[in-house]
Order: sequence, then structure tokens, then C-alpha cells
Amino acid sequence: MQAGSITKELLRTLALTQGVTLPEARLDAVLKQYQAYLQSLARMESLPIAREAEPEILFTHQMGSDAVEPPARK
Amino acid sequence: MTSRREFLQYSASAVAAMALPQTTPSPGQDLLPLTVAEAGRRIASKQLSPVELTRQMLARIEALNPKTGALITVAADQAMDAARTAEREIMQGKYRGPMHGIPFGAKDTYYTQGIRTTAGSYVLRDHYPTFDCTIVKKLKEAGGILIGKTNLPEFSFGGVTPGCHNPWDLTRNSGGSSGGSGSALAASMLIAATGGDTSGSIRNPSSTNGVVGFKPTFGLVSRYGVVPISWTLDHLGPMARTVEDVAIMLKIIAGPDPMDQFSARVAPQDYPQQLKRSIRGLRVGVLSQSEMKGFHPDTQKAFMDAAKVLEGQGAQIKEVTFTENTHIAAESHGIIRICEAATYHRQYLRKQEAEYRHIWSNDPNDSNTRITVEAGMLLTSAQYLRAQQARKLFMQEFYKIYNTLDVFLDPTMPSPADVPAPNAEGYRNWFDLNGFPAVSIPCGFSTNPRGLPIGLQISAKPFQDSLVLAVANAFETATEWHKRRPAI
Repeated sequence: MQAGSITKELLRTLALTQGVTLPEARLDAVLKQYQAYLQSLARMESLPIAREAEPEILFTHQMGSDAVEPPARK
Repeated sequence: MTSRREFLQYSASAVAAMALPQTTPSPGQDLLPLTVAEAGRRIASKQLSPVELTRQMLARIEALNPKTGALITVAADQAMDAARTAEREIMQGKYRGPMHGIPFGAKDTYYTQGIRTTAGSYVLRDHYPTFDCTIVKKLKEAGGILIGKTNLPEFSFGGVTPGCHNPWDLTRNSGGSSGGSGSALAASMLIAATGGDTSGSIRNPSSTNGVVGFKPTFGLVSRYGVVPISWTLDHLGPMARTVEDVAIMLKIIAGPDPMDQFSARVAPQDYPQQLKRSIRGLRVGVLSQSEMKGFHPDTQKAFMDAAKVLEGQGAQIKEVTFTENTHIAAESHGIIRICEAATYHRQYLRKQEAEYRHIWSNDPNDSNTRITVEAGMLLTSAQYLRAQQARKLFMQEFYKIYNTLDVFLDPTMPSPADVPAPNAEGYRNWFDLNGFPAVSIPCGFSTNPRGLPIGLQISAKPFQDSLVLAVANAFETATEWHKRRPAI
């Protein structure tokens, strides 16, 4: 979807899915900012990101963390 | 053992006697041109009382805060109590180290037990944390005296701090988002402060106010108990007027923290002790001129001169340019930042959206933070994760460059305080995105407009924080920029 084709109505609807009501007074400013983010994402589409690339996010179990042991069974 | 009377007798004259050279005298108050290291030595030898130092600092804050707007909250009673405790301990021989008896300011995102923590926003106007963040806890355990909370833009969003003025020219802003810390240090209202850095917010105000600010390797310093912008981009670190002071504070605040899931299991080093290593033979990359389009001419000149200083000390200089892919991948910073921030702000946007504005603002429509996070909230998880994939590519590109270098230099800011540089791309964000350690130190002053500080950014690979500080120290030792003081 092109950033320029985003409507204020769509923005309002998207915000409602997040439990937030966007007032008319702020719609233009939020729309402009949202379009800027979409344009940035569009530029990133040109990057040579491999199909196997994983995101740079850490989820791990740290060594030595205090694990809670299950109670001993009788 | 020195009596309390003797302790105080020495103190008042000791403070006045420690005047460092400066361009013009400050009006009205005794000068506090101290550094943490100098004050620490005097306190350790009982020539300076923490009570007298704190009292003088509070007096200076009272005199200058109306002009600078650097502090949101001053905790005078708590600070004096802590100072009296520190004095008693030191007189009993229970000396804790170089931070004992030293007042410090904390950016108002840092949770401070019983002391209001607003994050610069009306949303948190009545927020009184029930615990200290890890950094404040460590500084207090080292004997530091929390004296106040420094100003920042609302929820740290932005490079300009509302109501906060630059001591070098009070008509100009102090930068941000740790603008209050930067301004207070430059004005000698504080000798030690803390900051937060997600998009350059320790280094921006450090450069803008002519002080030293250090963003450590991601994970070296705990983020626990600090109002976040973005969990995987936030860094916290020390600010002061010299590299040695920053090293002293870093040694105290660095180290693993089980309360911070991103905390690195790396023991802190003796950063002050490692400052004096030689930089002879170091491979130093410098940002090429082609990457400085739109940078102010004074900034470019100060930067080139700074590189020559290090070359004169034996560093091997080589120019660095970045690939187009690196520039594009760096945009992932903005997406990651706003998606994570929007997730944090959901709790306020759903129930307190009408309260967004700076803590000092009366205008309910005055919140760029709210607009930004509302827009970020509309991005999808797939878009966020795409940016995190781009981040991985960015890291790979960066390691290719840094594997041929020991340190990298660039100007911290494209231009001095409030001087427009509309088409210039600064590189501060990049070091939040890759988590590499980076410092900003004073490296000159502008000529047009006259007299505004310019900062040099030095960075290295992860966990080479001591190398960054050693190179910064080598530059500082060979120059006098850090000794200048504004006429305020």
C-alpha cells in the first residue's frame, strides 16, 4: 500500500483497534507521521535481507538464573 | 582525627580556592568549578565537607535554575540529610570511594524513591516511585548525594528540552533529551549527572553544552527503574565535565543486574585506572567529508582539527565512508524506537491521552510525543520485526568497518545549539541501534555564531568502553576545551 493512499478514516479505524480514539484535531499530524514511517519501511524493502534472516531480538534463558524446581514427588 | 569544626573551616576556603581558569567570572555566588575527582580527593583528605559542598551547590542551583531551567525538582532536604550522613561516615573513617559526599543530579526518568519522577510529562506529575532505579541505588551506595532531577522533553522525546537554556547563550536551547543534565553541568550547578540515550540523548546535550557524556555498550549499565522510550535502544550513562569524572561514575554504575533482562554478564572494569593507556598505533577511522554534507563549517573544522590532535599522538587515521545499504538500514532505528515506545505508551494513550504535555506546559495541545506514539501504535508487528531484520544487516555492515578499526570519530552534532542544519544526517542514532559505546567530548567552539560548544564523538566495538574513554582522555589531556566555563 502506498503511504499516500492512507486516509484519515483508515487511521481512525486502525487506532480504534488499539483502543484509542484519534480526535479530528490531531488526525492530520498523526497521518503525516504515520506516512513518514511507511516511507521509511518502503526504503528498507530495497535492503538485501536474506530469506533466512532472523530479527535482532533476544529471547533466551540465561545461564545460572534461579530456576524454581518442582517439588519432590513421593 | 579531624574535628568537625576543622573540617568545615577548611571547606569554605577550599571550595573558593579550587577555581579553575575560566573566561569570565560568574556573578553572585561562590564558584563551584570542581570536578568529581578533585572534590573527591579533597573530601577524602577531609579538606572539604560534603555538607559545605552540597550547601554551596544548592545555593548555586537556587540562583541559576530560574535562568537555565535545568532542574525540575530540587531535593534540598534529602540532599542535606545525605550530606550530613556522608560527613559523619567520613569523619569516622568509613570512606566509600571517590563518589562519597559528591552531589549528583539524575535525569527525571530515573526512579528515585520518594522523590517525584515525572519523565518531563504532566501525565506523571504525581508519580512518586517507591524504589530507586539501579543506577541511583549504586550511586547512593557509593556515597553519592542525590540533589535533584534534571529537565528533559516529555518522555524524553526530542533533541530540544522545553524551558531549558544553554549556559553559553541563554537564548539558545540546551539540546536533549538529557538537556537539563547538560545545562546544569555547564553552569556548574552540578558536577555529576546522569542521562538517557536512545537517539543520542546523552551525547546531543553533552556536545551542545560543552560537557562530557558517555553512552556505554548496550547492557553494560542497567536500565532497571528508568522510564523507557524503547527497550532495545535505551542506554543510560554518566555526564560530567571531564572524562575522568565520567570514568569514576561508570565504574560505580556498570555491571550485571538481574533486574534488567538485557544486562550483560560482564564485570565492570577499573575505567579510571585504564584512562592513561597510550593511543600510539591505534587505527582511528574518521568520518569522511562526503558524509558530512550540510554540517556547519565550524563543526567540520573543529572535527578535522580534533583528528589531527589524535594523529599527533600517534594514532593512524583513515577516512571512513558508509555504504548506501548502511544508511538505509539505519532507518530501522526509527521504526524500532516508535513501535517499542508505542507499546509502552498504550497504558497512557488509552486512559490519559488528554494529559500529554511537558510538565511545565499549560497547553493541552502541546505534545509532539503523543502524535508520534499514536502514529507508531498503528504499525504492525510484521513491520516492527522487518525493522529488526534490517537492524541485523546494519550490525553486519558495521562490524565489517570496525574490524579494520580500533575506534571511530565523527562530529557529535552537525551544528551547534539551535543552528539549523536541515539536510545534515547526524550519526548518533547509529550507536543506539548497534549498541556500541560512544562518548561526546568538547572539541571546540563555533565562530559564527560565536562561542557555542562543539563535540567530538568517539566510539569503539562493544565492551571496549575503556578504550573509548582512554582515547577521549588522550584528546582531553592534549587540549583545553573542557576547561572553559560560560559567563553565567
